[in-house]
Amino acid sequence: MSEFLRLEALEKRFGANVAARSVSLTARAGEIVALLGPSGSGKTTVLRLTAGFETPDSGRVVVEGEDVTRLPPERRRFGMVFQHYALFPHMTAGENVAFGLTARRGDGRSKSAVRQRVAEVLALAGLSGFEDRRVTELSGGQQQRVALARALAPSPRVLLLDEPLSNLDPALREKTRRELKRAIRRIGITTLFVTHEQEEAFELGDRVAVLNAGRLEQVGTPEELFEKPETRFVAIFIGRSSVVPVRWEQGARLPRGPVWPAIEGAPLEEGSDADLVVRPEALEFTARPRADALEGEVVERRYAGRSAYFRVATEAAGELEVLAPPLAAREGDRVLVVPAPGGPVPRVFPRQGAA
Amino acid sequence: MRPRRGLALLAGGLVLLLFWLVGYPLVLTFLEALGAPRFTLAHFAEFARRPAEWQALWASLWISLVTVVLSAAIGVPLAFLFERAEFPGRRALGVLVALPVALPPLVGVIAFLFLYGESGFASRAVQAALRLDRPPWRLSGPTAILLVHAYSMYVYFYLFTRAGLARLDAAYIEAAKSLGAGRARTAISVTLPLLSPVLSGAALLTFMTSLASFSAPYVFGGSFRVMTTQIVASKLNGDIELAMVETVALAAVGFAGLYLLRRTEARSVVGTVRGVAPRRALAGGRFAVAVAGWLLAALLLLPHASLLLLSFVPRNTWTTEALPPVLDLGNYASLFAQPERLRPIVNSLWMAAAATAAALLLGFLAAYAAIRSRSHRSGAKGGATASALEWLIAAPWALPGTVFAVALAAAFSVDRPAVARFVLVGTAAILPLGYLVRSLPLTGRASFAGLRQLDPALEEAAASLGARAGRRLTRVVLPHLKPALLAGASLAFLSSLGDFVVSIVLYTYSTRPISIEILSALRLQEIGVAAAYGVLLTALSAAAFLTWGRRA
Repeated sequence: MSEFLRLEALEKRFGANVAARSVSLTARAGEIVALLGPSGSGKTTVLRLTAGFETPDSGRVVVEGEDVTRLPPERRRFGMVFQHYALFPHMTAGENVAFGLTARRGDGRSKSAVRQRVAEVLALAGLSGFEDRRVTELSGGQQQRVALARALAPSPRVLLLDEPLSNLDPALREKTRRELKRAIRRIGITTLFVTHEQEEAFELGDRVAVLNAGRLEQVGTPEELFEKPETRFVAIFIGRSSVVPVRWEQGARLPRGPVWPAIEGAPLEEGSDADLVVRPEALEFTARPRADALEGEVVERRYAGRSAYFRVATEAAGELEVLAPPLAAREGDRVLVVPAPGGPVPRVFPRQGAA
Repeated sequence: MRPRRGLALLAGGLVLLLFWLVGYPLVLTFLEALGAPRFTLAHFAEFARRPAEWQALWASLWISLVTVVLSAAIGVPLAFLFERAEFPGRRALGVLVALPVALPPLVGVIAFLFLYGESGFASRAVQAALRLDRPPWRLSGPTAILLVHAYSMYVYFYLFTRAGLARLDAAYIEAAKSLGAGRARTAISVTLPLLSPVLSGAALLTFMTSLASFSAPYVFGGSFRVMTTQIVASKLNGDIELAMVETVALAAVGFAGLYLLRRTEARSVVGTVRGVAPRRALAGGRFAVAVAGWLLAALLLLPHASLLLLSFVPRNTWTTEALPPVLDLGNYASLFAQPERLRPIVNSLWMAAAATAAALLLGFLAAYAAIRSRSHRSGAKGGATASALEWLIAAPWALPGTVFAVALAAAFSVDRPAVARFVLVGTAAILPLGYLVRSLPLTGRASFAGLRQLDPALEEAAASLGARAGRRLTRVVLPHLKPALLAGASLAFLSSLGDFVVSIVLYTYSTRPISIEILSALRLQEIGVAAAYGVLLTALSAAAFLTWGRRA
């Protein structure tokens, strides 16, 4: 399946602040793409540029081969679910859902057709019979579903979601997330959504686009991002990791210590200063002294069911996080840390600040 | 427990004092309308029998309703323009457009007279251009009243709508757009319904102000009477009981309005600030909008420009020319050189200053006592005292100035100290007292609003650090309230300075204020002098409004 939605080198400045730097991204028909990043990374700006609420300084938004960059939002036929839903408080749930069906004169829908469509979409959102409810009387989860139904009712070409779950309490979030995914899948609509939560991005998104400071760092499946981060930012931002200053010697030469196996995240000169990004899963404890072991003291142990995270203060390399069986060590123990065979291979990136 | 007893004493004393000032005169008016001490409904029957009374009541109502419609038609589009579009000069014009609300009503009325009246600039210009042998129109009757009302009261719709738009969550608008709604559909089915609490608030405020309006009907009405002019006419005719009945009737309408207003205010406002809609820089129309905006501002300032020009015209030098041939500063010189003409200025200044100071003190104390006795949770009694204080402070705002003027005249023209009635009418005390009552809502509301925003924890923190009540007040509470109090005081001062409604009922020759002197100058054909007084009032009011009043 070829691309359906294409963002081409989108660029947007607000005064001196660059919110989007040449962001290019494509989505295939029916694909769900997550825009993930810390606050201020420009993910919401990219979504709003796509929706048409902001006009890019340069770049294009193309859908089905049609350039919509200059089209106002009301003529793009993109559905949007807002962070706080923006349900019209002076209308019932049914009236909210019907709004987009009757928004333009000459849409040619009869009253009964509108009513039927409203019922259909509400049913899809699991809210059959909610037509006459006031939106202010609905729970947070129900409001979220009305907002989804309202966005989907006019059969938009693209669905845009701005932090769709951030307004729900954690217990409800996981359930709603699954329902949301099921609903989107059933319709098969191309979807772009913004989130700052990795778990949400990984569960909902077929692919995840990681943004930082207005720049698109990497787009890929969750596995690709986790196992083959292309930038230092992605390596640190996705999953848990420790950063150790090393020297690149076709491996990571630890300060006053051994060389650990690692691969280049970006091209490195032999002998240059670099940062080793190592995941807790890539490390383990050893009982016997080894040449490649680092010695340190367990300063914190965080229990997580079948295993535990140990924060180890090493003399040579600062603090490292190690994933190990819960009983492997206790706080205050002296331990030896070594690379774990079979774990994700640590990556080395040029030292930040250095070129 | 001593501080709390002190608070209860203060609150109780304030309720009594405010009741004596605000409630008591109204009660006495009602009793006199009933013919006390021999109670009879004869005066009410008389009122009901006269068609003129019904006509005046009806005129008050329909004039007010049409005023609301006209003001909305001007103010709402203007608010959208200034809040949603971006064009050069937007900020400065946005303030200028709100200015008519700060100008004394009587000055606005005579400025209109000088511009559009029979011998005004506009009429002369049209007459000269079309070579007519008489003025093209007469500025009188309901049309003239409505014109002046719309000119001064659209500001309520303008300010309320702008505030509402600024608070509206932009996501609502964006949601409508993403669902395919164009600009018109979005405005009609999303923005306006969301603004409805704000719009109904503005509508009621305009209605009440128009109901209480006196200057425009008095100057332009002629034989067309509304309730306020009818009351003053009855009183001047010596028909005291009838005037009392009329006052009660007008007060009843005012209270109904206040009740409605409170209900709309109690309704929670939907749409809070989350995102603010970006201003549209009107790319193509930018220049056109700027020109239109500046033209509009010029149109709005034209009456006052006429006033200014006329203030430089010496007496009897301008006859048939389109523009006055001679201009000098003689009128201003005479205001300050002739003791008889300086007198009203001095009167207005000291009376307004005294009334403002007293209103500031009373308003602040009442708000402080009300809010503290509520927050101390001293049970139902504290709550009742607080409500009483709030109502007494708000009542003069809901009731037309004429009602209070007549009530004060009725209450304080009798010497019976046993029932707390003294002869104050005819003394220098009665006008400042009248201004004080009218100013209470302005200073009181400002204090209430300021104190409600003040976190009680601040004062508690000061107390825990060892500060006694006086130090807490001067070092913590008052510094926080200063902007609100200044704003309230400046509004009180400028409304007292320009007052005409209360003055015309209660003035004596030696205490005559500027507004009364403007009127008598007009009667004597001293147009230039009247204009000079008007300019003086306008300048003082605008200065006070622009310096402190805008935060109110």
